[in-house]
Amino acid sequence: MKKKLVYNVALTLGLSMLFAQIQAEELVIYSSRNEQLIKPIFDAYTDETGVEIKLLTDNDGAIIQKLRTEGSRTSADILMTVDAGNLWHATELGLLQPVESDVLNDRIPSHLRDPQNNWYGLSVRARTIIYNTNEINPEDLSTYEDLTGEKWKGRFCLRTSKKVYNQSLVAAMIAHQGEEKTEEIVRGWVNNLATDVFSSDTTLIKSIAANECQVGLANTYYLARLLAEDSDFPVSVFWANQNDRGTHVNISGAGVSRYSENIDAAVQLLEWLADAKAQKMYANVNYEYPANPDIDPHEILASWGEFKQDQLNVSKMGELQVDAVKLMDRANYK
Amino acid sequence: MLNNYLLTVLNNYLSKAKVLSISLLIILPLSSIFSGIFDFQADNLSHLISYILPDVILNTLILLIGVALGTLTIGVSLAYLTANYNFPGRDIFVWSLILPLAIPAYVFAFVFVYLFDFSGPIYSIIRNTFGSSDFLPKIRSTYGVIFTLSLAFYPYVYLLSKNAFSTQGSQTIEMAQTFGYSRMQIFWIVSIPMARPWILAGLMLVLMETLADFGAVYIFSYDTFTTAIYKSWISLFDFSSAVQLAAIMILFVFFIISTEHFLRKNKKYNMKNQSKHIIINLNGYKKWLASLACLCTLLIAFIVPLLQLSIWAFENILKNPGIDPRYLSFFLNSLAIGIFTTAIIIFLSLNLSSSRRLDKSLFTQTFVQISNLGYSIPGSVLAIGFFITIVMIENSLIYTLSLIGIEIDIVIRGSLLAMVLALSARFLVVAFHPINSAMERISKSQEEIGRSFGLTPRKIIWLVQIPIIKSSIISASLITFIEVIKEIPIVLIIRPFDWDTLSIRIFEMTSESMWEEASIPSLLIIIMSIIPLVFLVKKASKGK
Repeated sequence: MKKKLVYNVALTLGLSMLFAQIQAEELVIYSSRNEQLIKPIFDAYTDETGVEIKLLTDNDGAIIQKLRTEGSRTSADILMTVDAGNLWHATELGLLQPVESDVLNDRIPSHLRDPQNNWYGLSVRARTIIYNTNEINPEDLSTYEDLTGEKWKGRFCLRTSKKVYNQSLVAAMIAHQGEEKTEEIVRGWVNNLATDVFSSDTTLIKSIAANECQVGLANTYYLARLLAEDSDFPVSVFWANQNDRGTHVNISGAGVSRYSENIDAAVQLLEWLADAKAQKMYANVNYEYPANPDIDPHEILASWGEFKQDQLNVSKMGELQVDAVKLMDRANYK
Repeated sequence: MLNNYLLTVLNNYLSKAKVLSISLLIILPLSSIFSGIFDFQADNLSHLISYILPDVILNTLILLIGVALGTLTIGVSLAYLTANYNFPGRDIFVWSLILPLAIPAYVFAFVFVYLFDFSGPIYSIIRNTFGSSDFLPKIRSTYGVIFTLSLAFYPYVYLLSKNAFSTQGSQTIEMAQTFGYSRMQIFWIVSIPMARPWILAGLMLVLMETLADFGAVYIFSYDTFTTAIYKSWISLFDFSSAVQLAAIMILFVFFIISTEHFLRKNKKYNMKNQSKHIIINLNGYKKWLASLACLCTLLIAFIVPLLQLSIWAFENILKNPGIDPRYLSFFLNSLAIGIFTTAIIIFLSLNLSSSRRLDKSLFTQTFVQISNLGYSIPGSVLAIGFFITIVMIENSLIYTLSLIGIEIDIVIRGSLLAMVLALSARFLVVAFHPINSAMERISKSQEEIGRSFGLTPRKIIWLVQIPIIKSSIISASLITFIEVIKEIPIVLIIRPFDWDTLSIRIFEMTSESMWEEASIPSLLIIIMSIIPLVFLVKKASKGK
């Protein structure tokens, strides 16, 4: 193996030069998942295996451009993002490589991973209907589509269409029922809005609690965070579309970088992340659902009961994201 | 004689080479992102043109005008008040009115939306008391975003125009008084026109920052041109359309800067006689009104957000006792890039504005303008440009060395030097504008005396120009330092492994909407900004 010297212009600006040797027992991770959500898990991995983890965080767009720019000279072994669309995009750009792992295929359900095994979901983020428990009888709720009905006029809230979670949701709807039908639904939602779109799920949920609107769509972990602080918080989860395709889910996940020279070590880390102990930590730190169906979710999540997940492969949401964005623009969903 | 002539020619070329190399700091990253500019994605472009651009262009213009009016009103009037009058609390207000600059605009936006939204504490109390809060204005609106950004950005105008007002000298004003003009008339026909370069310099910074802002407008769900750039890149996976939009924005800024420059081309702002600046004591109700105006601004633009951040920080520490010990290194890292970058920026700005003054050729004038474009480009887009440039430099070094048989991997990304240079290119204009405006008050004759003593252009900078514009250099350093320690995207993309700053901590917390958790790094950034301020105040009071 070629000995690799890394020549580093010193951080201290003193321009003194440092020579450092990349060690074999070291993995470099590029991540758009927050440091505080993953560092504890990687620390546990280092404790257990002795493999050092070097972590570099950035937002989705920048981290992918970064990997792309570095090309074959990148030191990244693993790319980790918070949305299937980004992993799909990275795959399209040829930044990931397929891995062969029966362990991963066994631990991660097929709809939560790339059909070509370029990446794997590690946690599940459900985006469903949430409602004010003082104002709404959950029996009146049923599906995402039903929220276009006259009875929800002026009572419904949405987060901005610029957030990828909504883009993925609409992309999934396009996959299930085609563009025309989906555009009609999105227009119906916009028509029912009680107030301008919110920039965050948390503000949206708080507005539902304050009765500015009574129903909305949100990722469940945002609500779980609020419930963890105040168990009397008057908002709850309704599992949408349980009688047809199931509730929309997205993932946070990871894949092995195309130019990684530590493929085996990288796959080992992914397998470890998909296993019981890590899955619990990985999901619980942010109240997400474990991707591995054998692991029980956090108790707050468990209190909402089990639900049927939409079995559409999450890569489809990357594929249709651009169509979804344009559709929402046409429907005047800001 | 011939020797002298050759020397002049040589100096001229050296000066041009200097300007060109400074401008390369921004030209290289810009050209690396614009290399894909002719890669047209027709369907995306036509979508943007039909559904996005008409709205965002209108929104952007409304926002620019609104924030311009807001910052001018607040900034100029407070600057005039504190520069010319004495009233209770003035000594504190003079410097504390700059403090809102230390709060990043998106933190401002978040705090205000939290406080004043329907579900926020204030409206909830009002609803509980009066049964309804519908009669109150909505914070998530055009007015709300203009209000918030005006409070966040007015210190640029305030700081620069205060410098101008407090050095205008009393002669002109006295002369106007002898002609029977009232104080109000003097304000409009003497003080404001005389302070124009400084006011406009501050306003330029405000407009450029407003234009390139993404974080704050996102929180208000107010779509601007920058929103459209990010939308193309992140949502439509189309970096080339994003770059094409960015190019339009840069042309717009270039046009505005050049127009402003052209409009004041033939005006002179020299101080002929540095007559002593007189501060008038306000009496009766007037002095209390003045205090009240300053106090109100300070309250809304600084104390309220500071209190809210402190409450969140306190709650956080109660929840997770003990502060992450790494905060010490975050603090020191921020401090280090702040100091180094500011030093480089001041050095470059002095050189640029001095060259611009001594060499009126189109070449120099144009490249000076280009050097200053970094601030008007949305941060994340520019960060990619820097990153591509750095990797290209690495690749070409590796290739060159491989030609002579040396096979090594060279890594410049992740170095503090690369980070500091990129930050310098981004924020150059923040120091350049105030320094350049101040240079305009140096009269030609002062420099000619220098030249007649045989001073080289470099010596003219040090011995003639710097002493005259010292106070502007200090203000410029202050705002540059604060800007740099708030910066996120460039530091994010260039920083090495396990090397974080306070602003990176804010990014980590806020990207999952954990705004309350971001209060601790935000407070530390504010504290770090207060340190140089206090230093300045001490210096100023010694000077009295």
